Amino acid sequence: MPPQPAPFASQGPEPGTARSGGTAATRPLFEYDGNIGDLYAVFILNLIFSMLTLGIYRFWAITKLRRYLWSHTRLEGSRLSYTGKGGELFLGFLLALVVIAVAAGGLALLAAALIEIDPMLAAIPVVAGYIAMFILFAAARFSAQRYRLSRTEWRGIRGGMQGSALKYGVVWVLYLISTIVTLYQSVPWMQVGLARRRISATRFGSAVFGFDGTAGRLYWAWLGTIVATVALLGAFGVVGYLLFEPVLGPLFSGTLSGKRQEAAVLVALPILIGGALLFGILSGLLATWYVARMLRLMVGHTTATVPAAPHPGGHGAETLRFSCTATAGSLLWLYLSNMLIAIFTLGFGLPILLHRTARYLERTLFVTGHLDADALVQSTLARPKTGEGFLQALDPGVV
Amino acid sequence: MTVTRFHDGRSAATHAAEPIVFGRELRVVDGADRTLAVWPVDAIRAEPDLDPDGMTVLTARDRPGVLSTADPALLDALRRAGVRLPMAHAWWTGHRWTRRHWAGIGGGFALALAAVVLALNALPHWIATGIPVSWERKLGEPMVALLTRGSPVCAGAEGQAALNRLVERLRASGRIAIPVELSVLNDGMVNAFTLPGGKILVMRGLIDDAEDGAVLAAVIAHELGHVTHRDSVTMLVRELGLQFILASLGIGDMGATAIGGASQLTALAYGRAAEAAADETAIDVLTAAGLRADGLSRFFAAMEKKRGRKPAVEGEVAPDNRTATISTWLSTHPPDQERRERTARPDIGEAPFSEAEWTAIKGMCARKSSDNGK
Repeated sequence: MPPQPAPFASQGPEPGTARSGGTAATRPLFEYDGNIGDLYAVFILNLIFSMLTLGIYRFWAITKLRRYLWSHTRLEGSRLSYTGKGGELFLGFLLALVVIAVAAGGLALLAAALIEIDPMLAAIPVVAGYIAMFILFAAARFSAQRYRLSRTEWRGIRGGMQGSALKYGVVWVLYLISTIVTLYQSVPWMQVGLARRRISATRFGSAVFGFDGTAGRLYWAWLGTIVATVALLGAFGVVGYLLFEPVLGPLFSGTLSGKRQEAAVLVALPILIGGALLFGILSGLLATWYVARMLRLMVGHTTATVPAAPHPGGHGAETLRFSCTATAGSLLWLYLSNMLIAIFTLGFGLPILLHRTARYLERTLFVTGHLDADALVQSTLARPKTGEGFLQALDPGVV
Repeated sequence: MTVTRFHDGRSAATHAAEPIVFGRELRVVDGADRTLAVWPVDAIRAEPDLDPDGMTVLTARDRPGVLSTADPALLDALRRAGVRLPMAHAWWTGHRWTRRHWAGIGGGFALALAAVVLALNALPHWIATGIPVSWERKLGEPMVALLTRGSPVCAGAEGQAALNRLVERLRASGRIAIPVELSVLNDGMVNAFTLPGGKILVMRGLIDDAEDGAVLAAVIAHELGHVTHRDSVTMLVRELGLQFILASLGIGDMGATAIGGASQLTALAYGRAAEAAADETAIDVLTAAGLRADGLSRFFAAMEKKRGRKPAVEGEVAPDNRTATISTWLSTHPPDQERRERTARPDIGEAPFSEAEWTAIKGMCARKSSDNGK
């Protein structure tokens, strides 16, 4: 076949793509342009195949869903792409199952052998197994994030995570023990400390993420939330106690009969339901108030530094800063409405939930600073071969 | 607008590219004629679907870089060179979603929901009727063994013979093909169970409490109703089937909880319907055998009276009628009052047992000294 040169189609470099490169002003971190209808199409097909394959298709289903979500997300005008494969998730899952089975079997055999010597000794492998389970659980989240980042590409550049997932798991367990020892006083330090570890392990191409926040500022919010929740519980307890005699007492006394009992039930039921709902909303508002502060702190103290441009005449390193405008009210509304949708659609509302969550993040996450695309070069971190095995085995999610 | 973009996989810079297919190679060159990449055509792979902007996304095996293009001439050249390209958007994306689409989706959702409800209600019964009785018996035997471990079977041979005669008579009148094995357990509970495989267990408490033989016969006839409707296997199939469906869906905890809740509600509704159907069969079978059929309503009346004395215990299976309006919806058994009214029959017909037989039945457990009395 003779060579067939294709006609040139593009008319020279597009303005604003090569070197000049955009704004440094605060702007939304990303734009999401997916729609619920398309998401439903992906979801329904996934559901059908998952049922036909007795759930094995799940790994490919998750991949399909991610491909959709990633490709409809634009950063600085360019789309993300998800390059993971369902087979990688499936293989990771199988490997994790084998490791868990072998480890559990080994510990069981060890315990059986030790019980011959001394029943007390047999507790050692059991306790060790429990602790290992916790470590694995946290490590699974870390390595799952590593896998997802390594399969996320933006303008041909992929992300990654540096460091040991197992070490993160151990630190996670140590933090957990510290929260128990301090009667939950150190929860903010745990949350911020772990976030710092995850964020500063994150890379995207040559960009290095960092975190410069401290938990101290979150402590009073945490304490306030706890105290207010306890006070709320107390207040509802008192009201409940005062209402018990006139409203609930007759119900349990067994002295009412027939119609009067029914009437009493009809009075008590709305009060009980209304009270539970009010408590749910108020305590939810308190919880989301804290979560919103935590999110703002975590995102607000995250940086991404692109090292100095390698090309001659380039500028020095540039740093992007992020911010989050989530508020207690909007977060509570998101949670509550998502929960109601999930319940009333019997779980078939998942695409709506995903869409709403993506839109919420789009509205609340911002970035500031100049990004020089030329200076951002490819990641040197190795791509993991399989992914998320332990997470898929221990705590599978929907996306 | 740039029709073709190239990212070289080394930096995030976007190159406006003008690739050409040259022999068995794709040469990616920029506007200044610099070569950005050379890909063998055979190594080129297209993403299975177009990106949301309608661009075809191309990569090459073992080579860095991503090429996105919507240039029809380039795509045509690649296709002719043997690269498999996505034809257009996948059929299910990129539509403009109109009200008609949403109506279709809504309708489909409603239909799917109806199918699920139907499946949860009817399918387990269809499957259960397809299971051979011999399998069912194998299922029931270990259950009987489990239950009879705690409370031994009452051995009184005369009483057992009388009960067997009644069972055979009712089976004949009701044309119940499944063999039935009835045992009396030495237990104070006022209750009777049906287990898979036509195993009926009657608790001693029920016999002690019964006004006369007609009440006992009516309860046995009710259990025979469960046997012939194959209710115990249906329940089993429903539970196992649900676990199976939820496991295979793997659509997350919230969905599982919601579906589980919905199924619990339909299970309760099924339970109520099954009880009512068994009541009806009991009356039919007794009447067809020429026996008096007033026992069932008298049994319910006795239960009502018994409960009326003390306040309802929370979580009790069959609540008393005072809170019935609300709790009926949440219980498997319809309230006694309603069942009593529905099963009320005149006291005409033959007595199910002779005086001697009834005495023998009442004494079936007497020889066991482990009886802790009532």
